[in-house]
Amino acid sequence: MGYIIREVKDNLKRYKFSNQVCIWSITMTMLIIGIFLLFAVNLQIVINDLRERVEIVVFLKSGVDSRRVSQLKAKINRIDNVKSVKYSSPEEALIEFTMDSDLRKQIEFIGENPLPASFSVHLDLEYEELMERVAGKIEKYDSVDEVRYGKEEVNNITKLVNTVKFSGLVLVIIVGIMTMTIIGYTIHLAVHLRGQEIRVMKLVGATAWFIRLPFLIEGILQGCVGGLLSAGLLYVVYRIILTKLEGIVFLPLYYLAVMVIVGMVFGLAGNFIGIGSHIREGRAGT
Amino acid sequence: MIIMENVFVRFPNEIEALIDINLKIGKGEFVYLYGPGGAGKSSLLKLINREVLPESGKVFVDNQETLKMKDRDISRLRKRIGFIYQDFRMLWKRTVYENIEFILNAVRMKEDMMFDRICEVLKIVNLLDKKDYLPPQLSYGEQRCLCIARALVNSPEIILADEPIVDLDSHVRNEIMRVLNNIVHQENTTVILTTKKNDVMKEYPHRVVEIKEGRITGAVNGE
Repeated sequence: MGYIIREVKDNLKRYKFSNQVCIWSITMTMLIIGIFLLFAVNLQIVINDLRERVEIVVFLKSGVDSRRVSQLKAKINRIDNVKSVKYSSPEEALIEFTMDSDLRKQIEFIGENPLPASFSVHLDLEYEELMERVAGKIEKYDSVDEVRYGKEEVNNITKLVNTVKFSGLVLVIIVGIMTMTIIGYTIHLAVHLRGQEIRVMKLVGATAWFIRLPFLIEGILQGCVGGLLSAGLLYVVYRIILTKLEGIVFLPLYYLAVMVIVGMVFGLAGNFIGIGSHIREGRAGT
Repeated sequence: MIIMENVFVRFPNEIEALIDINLKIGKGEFVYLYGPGGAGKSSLLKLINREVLPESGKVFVDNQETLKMKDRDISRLRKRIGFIYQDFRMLWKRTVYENIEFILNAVRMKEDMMFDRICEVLKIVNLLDKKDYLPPQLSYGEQRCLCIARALVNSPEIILADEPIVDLDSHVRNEIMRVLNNIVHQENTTVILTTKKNDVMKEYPHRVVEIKEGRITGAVNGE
């Protein structure tokens, strides 16, 4: 093991340039992935925010007593995928309504509070498609006068979510193939430069793993350094450019850890594949 | 014991390198492969360490057929062979010392024994004072000496020497031949040495196998 560690340390010095090229290749491609992730995370926040705003409003018949209100609330709460039920009395509704000066004038013109008591029902995220079914169920309960929800709004959000998911998947595949190709070719070229050395090692009797192991450790180190650099650069990009856009958040720490791990896996796999063709022994011919 | 039976080697460019080779070399034997350039001497050496594979026929090293060897067996075989390549095959980015140290690491020699052994072989080939040089900083003859030191360092059972004494000054040449002769006698090492000139064969007489145009043409016996 002592030899392997020394070998890795010396190789990093001996092949400084090709190591640097591999590290930068991983850094740049991981940075692209990081920027993509940053947008994906923030887009998800926006979508979740939109989803939070979608609600079912349940208007109650007039004169429903507080016992019935509690029973109805409990009943709605028991429906699958209902996340929260908030009661709003006619008085509370009036306060909210009269915050708008035009609406306040209309209320003053009527001279009494025409607003009914209501429930605001929120469903679990990602269950907007069920809104129609839940609304239909609530509509059938006694004491319920009318149920309203933004059907079109829900449809639009569902479409937006599906579009984002699909295009995200396509982008992930394209970016994934692109980055793996770039890293793969860069490492392959770097390993190819050492092809003569690998052949000599083979000819003097070194086993495949004896030759391969330092390369693999170098690959992991390249990936680790590349991943860390890309995370650092991503933060710089975020601080310099993206903080100017309001509400943009940086990636959670575990995403950065995943970037470093993915970089290490790329480095490891790139070296493993790159060295493979040099290590294989001929089976026939010369 | 090295045995070749009806070996035929054709290169990927269709050139027939070796034709109908039948040869037996016993353990501890010193054999010259004598012939002009392009006769197939190097290919015959490379058959033994499985760098070249026969299109037909069989090559056995100690009763093991090289063509049927698995990767691990190939490594084991090569660890038992010291190959002095005509084109050196060095690790150009490693120092003289590191080029040799690599072999000892590959054969898993204990680290505390390495330094003395490396210095010992470097002394034989007159390179001890240049152990920290990189191969490109050595002269052509010195590079050849490094190649020889590398082949000798792990005391192999078989030494395949491809034109090892070309371009060496007479002092080093004699020292190398003396070492090769000694290890045959003292350590029962098999040495197969290719040469185009017969002066060395006269000076250090051993069995001669003559090769021309890929065929063994004379003096096969002598075991």
